[in-house]
Amino acid sequence: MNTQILVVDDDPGSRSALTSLLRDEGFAVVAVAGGRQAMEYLQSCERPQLIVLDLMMPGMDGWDLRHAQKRDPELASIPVITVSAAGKLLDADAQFRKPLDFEKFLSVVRKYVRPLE
Amino acid sequence: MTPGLALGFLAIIVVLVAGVLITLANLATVYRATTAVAHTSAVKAQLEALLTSLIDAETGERGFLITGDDGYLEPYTRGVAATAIETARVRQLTIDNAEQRVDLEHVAVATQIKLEELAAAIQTRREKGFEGAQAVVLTNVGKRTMDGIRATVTRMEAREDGLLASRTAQADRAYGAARLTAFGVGAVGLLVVFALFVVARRVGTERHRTERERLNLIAELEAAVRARDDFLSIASHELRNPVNAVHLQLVGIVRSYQRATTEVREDELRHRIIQASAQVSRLTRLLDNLLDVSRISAGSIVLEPEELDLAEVVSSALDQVRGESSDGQIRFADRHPVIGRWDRLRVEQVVSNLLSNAIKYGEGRPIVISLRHDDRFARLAVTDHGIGIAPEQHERLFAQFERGVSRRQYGGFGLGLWITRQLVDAMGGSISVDSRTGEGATFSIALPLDTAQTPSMRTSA
Repeated sequence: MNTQILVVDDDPGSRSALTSLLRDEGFAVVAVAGGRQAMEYLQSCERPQLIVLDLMMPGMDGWDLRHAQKRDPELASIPVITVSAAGKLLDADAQFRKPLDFEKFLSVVRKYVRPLE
Repeated sequence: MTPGLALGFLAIIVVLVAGVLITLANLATVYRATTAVAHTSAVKAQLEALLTSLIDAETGERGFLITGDDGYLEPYTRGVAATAIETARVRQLTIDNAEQRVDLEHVAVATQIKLEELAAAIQTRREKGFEGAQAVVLTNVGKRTMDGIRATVTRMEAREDGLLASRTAQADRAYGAARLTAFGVGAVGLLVVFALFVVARRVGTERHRTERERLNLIAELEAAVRARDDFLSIASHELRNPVNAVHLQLVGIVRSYQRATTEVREDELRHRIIQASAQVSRLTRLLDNLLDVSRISAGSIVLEPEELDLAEVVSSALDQVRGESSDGQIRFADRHPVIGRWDRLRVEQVVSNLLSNAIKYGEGRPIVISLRHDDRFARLAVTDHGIGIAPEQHERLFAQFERGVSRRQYGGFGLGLWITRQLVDAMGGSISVDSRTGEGATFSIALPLDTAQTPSMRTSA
């Protein structure tokens, strides 16, 4: 099954809850805990159709990840939606604040990704 | 201006004004003495001139008496004319001196007598010839009168000299006084200026110190306000993660029930509820930490020690944070009972704070808890293998609102280790950290086995 959505969030509670909600909606989701793991995943596996990104993270944070993503021509076009407790990513395709309004979030996600089922 | 400075300036003004007035008075005296010298010389010169004119007149008369030639009368005529003018001049010069005036009138009367005697002799020579004139001269009236005039003039000159001597002495005294005044004013002025300098410097130093204290206070207050603002913004951000997790778990539960097509799976529901509950515990801990800051700052935390097994408390703290970690990430090595007297809630808080930190900064790598004890202390160590902390940051870690890494990368109040240290201190224990950047960290605490013997909560401020 090809990954459709890559969730990047260092907070385990938020990460697992969001992942299972998206899976319930029929999306193929992979979740990682930081920017570095996300980059490793993006460079070694098939590219997802959407990245859901937290900003404040240890090590490589959301801003760093976006920067690295845009420098890689293979990855630059993947849309990014931020879900963060604080901060702004100026060139994000959509931005959400925690706690997440899931219905609104889902409608934006559906613009970029069609569920498998 | 301070009263001391104002008094100093007033003193220097008084000294200067007094000095100037005294010096002016003395200068006036000295000046008067120099004019007195000129005056004396003038009086003496005029007296001499008067005598000379009389002698001239007498010389002319004598020449005429001997020769009968009118040509010899020229000095007589000149002398007679001059005596009047010179007498008037002397009178003018001595107008303010009563003694001199009296003597001058004597001289004037005698001069008149002398001139009349000369005129009489000349007249007699013309009318009665040489013999008659000789008889007039032989009366000796002229000679006596002339001797009287000389004596009076000499007295007047001596008086002028005496006057000059007294004025010169006065001028000498005035000069001495002026010199003394100048030195005095200079010395007092220098003293006052020195005193002013000392006072001004002290005032300046004092003002400088006050100003520095004021600036320090402002800086402290600004830092406190900044810390408070930071804290409020961090607090609002930090609470969002657990609230978000609870919210999403609840959304999941609601959506499970809403999906008519699929059956609600019991295990999935249970999982979501457990997850939500773990996040609520986390939220509670965050809120407790917030509350503890004000309690610790107010010194109002009281420990309630009871006998308990520290290993059991550690396990309970581990359960609290397990939801935040991945499965099997945390290992509690060599678990065996460590019995002592502690405040259960506070010890649990200390352990869960250390575990939370280890999870947060542990990069998902294994975390090891070790618990040992000796005769007096229980020793707990929590080791992670995460980002680590540079040694120079170690002391800062335990300060309020501080953390070892940038806020952008790691949320958190920056209060966990501060609270932990305050609690450990209050229990009579100690906390230390061993870590290097990129090599993980070991936080170790030593708690006395009986905290009942230690004083209750100390204040942090």
